[in-house]
Amino acid sequence: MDNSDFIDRARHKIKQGLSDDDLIKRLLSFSDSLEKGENTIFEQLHDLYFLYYPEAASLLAERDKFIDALKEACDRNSVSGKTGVRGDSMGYDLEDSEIQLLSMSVNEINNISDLKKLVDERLREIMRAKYPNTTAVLGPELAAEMLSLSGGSHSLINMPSSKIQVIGAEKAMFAARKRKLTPKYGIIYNHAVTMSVPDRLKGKAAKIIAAYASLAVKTDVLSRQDKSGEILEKMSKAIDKMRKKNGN
Amino acid sequence: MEIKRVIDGVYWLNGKRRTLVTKSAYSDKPVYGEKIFKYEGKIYREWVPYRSKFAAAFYRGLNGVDIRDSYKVLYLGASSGTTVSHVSDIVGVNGQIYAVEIAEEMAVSLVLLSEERKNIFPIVDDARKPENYSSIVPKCDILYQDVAQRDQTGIFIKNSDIFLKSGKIGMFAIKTRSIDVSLEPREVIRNETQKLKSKFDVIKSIDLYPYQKDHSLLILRKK
Repeated sequence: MDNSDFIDRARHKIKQGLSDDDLIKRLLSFSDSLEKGENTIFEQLHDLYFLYYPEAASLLAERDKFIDALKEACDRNSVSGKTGVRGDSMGYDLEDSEIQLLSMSVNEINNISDLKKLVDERLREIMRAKYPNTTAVLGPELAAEMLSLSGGSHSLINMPSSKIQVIGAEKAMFAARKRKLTPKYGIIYNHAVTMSVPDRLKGKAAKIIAAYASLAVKTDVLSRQDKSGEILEKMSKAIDKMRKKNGN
Repeated sequence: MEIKRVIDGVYWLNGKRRTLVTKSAYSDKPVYGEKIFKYEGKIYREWVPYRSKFAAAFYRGLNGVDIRDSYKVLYLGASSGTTVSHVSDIVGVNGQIYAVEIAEEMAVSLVLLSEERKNIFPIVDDARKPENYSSIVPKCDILYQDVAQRDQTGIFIKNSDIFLKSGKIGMFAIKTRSIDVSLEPREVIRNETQKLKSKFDVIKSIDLYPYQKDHSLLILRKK
């Protein structure tokens, strides 16, 4: 008996089973890993460069400044010309082979950050295409994170909005069983509206955003229509009303 | 090095240490990075107890089970096909293994494996719903189940009702942690065997520690 029928059927099923959510999840975690890697490499490179040119390295503690100064050339002359640090250093002597090593590392960091930008851009595109309403309410990054933390759109549509409100605050949620102090927001804290209101209103704002996020996800998954304008308008009205009521 | 037969297709290689191997029914390529032995012109693949519950049972004293050449096997929870590849060695090119796996990512390597080993029939489906694949799977001589789910006993009974011939062997890897974390593992196994008793004779219950944590393998014969 031949198993090719079974293989064809299984291949078909696997292809059908792959969802946009998986892609979003992978891209998000890839982007996170890239950021982590970039930071680690930068820290190590900065520590290494400190040995060769401590004066410049302590001035250029931030990544963007450091990369900017070392982008074209890593030798002491050009770096001191750019930053105005004194040229005679107390660090190790810089030799040509080491300069090559340093400039390659700087290039590598640049490449990684370019790649991260590309990944993020692609993630945003996918989010806008597949979840237009949710993206409008939460923003692409937050919406993607929400999907990946909740385990996919189908578990997200089954959640009450009060649960969506505290996604990402599971630790505090479980602690609240003992301390009776429930969290008011999880990753929704990073939403632009929650950031903009004063501390005492953050919980209320999170509640409203979660309610509309829940509505938006359901619209995306179940009716597949782009009603983002309508939902956004309703949400901003609700937020304004909340602000007025609480004297802000 | 000497070789000692356990059952047809499964052997102990006694060197410095004893190693469980299966006689390869197909190529001499390793499936998941296991060691390959050549002995008297035949090819043997190491069966790693840390990767496979079935192998761990042999290490823990299982010395015979009714599985042989040309048997039909229904394998639930095939995962990426580690144990499946060894079962495919045992039943040989004339045997058939119907390997059910629900997770698509795991099933990818299972499908790739079945393209090489023609006696594996991959099914991407939920073992909870045997009616989905009952039209394409015949009655089997062995039912092997390794799904770490809370209702794993129910799944086993459901599938054995439909697919297992009576008087034949069912192998049931119980993960006690999936059923109840708060109970003692021994207690869980006693409860689950109680549920199985009306339909099966329990031949053996093997605790797979230290090769697998919180796992036991039940060998059952359908009444």
